[in-house]
Amino acid sequence: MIGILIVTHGSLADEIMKTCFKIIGERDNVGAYSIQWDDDPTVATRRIEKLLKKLDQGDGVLVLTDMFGGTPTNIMISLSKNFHVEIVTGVNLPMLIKAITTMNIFNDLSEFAEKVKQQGQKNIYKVSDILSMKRL
Amino acid sequence: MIEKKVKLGNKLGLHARAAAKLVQLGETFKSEIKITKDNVEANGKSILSVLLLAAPVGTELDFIIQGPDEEKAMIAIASLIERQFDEGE
Repeated sequence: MIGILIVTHGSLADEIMKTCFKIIGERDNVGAYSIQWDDDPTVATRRIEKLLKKLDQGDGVLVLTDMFGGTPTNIMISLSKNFHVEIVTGVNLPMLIKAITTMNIFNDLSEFAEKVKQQGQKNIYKVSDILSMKRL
Repeated sequence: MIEKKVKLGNKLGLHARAAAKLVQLGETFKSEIKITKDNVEANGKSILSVLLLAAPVGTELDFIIQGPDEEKAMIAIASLIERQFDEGE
């Protein structure tokens, strides 16, 4: 089974996970690590390593980070040498809901990461476009 | 194939948690579940698809269910909506 770990700046990771669980119910094999502004990156890296070990049940871990180039993503890039992970940036709520509700049907981490990336992008809308479509 | 129109009576309409309950219930059936509103068709087993319907209170949703357990699925779904998604409002 594939695991999911959300890693972000501030408290976003914990809050987006809680919000998602409030909507779809609590799930196993999902973790969050929020890197606070004053955290020592070395300590954060060690804690994330522990979480990855716990979440990897054999098929790897999909890591959802907030932004490419930021510390959470950079830490994950450095850890990707030693762990079986795929990193997708730009975590958003539809992306997370899709990831958590479909994690059981994928065995291939790379394929799963690609699907989650596509869903995250696809579910961003300019609302007026949707509303005008409905008036047709 | 069976079709039924069901009106949303709960205060928040088809919001995220209600959509999740609807989809989780739908997933327990083998039949294919389609929901339509204003020319938009949603897959009743995908929460993100269902949320695209943007259905507030008072909206009438058209359910089209097809498969071996279509009648049971329609009864269960209509009941969930009539119970206002068990939100107590």
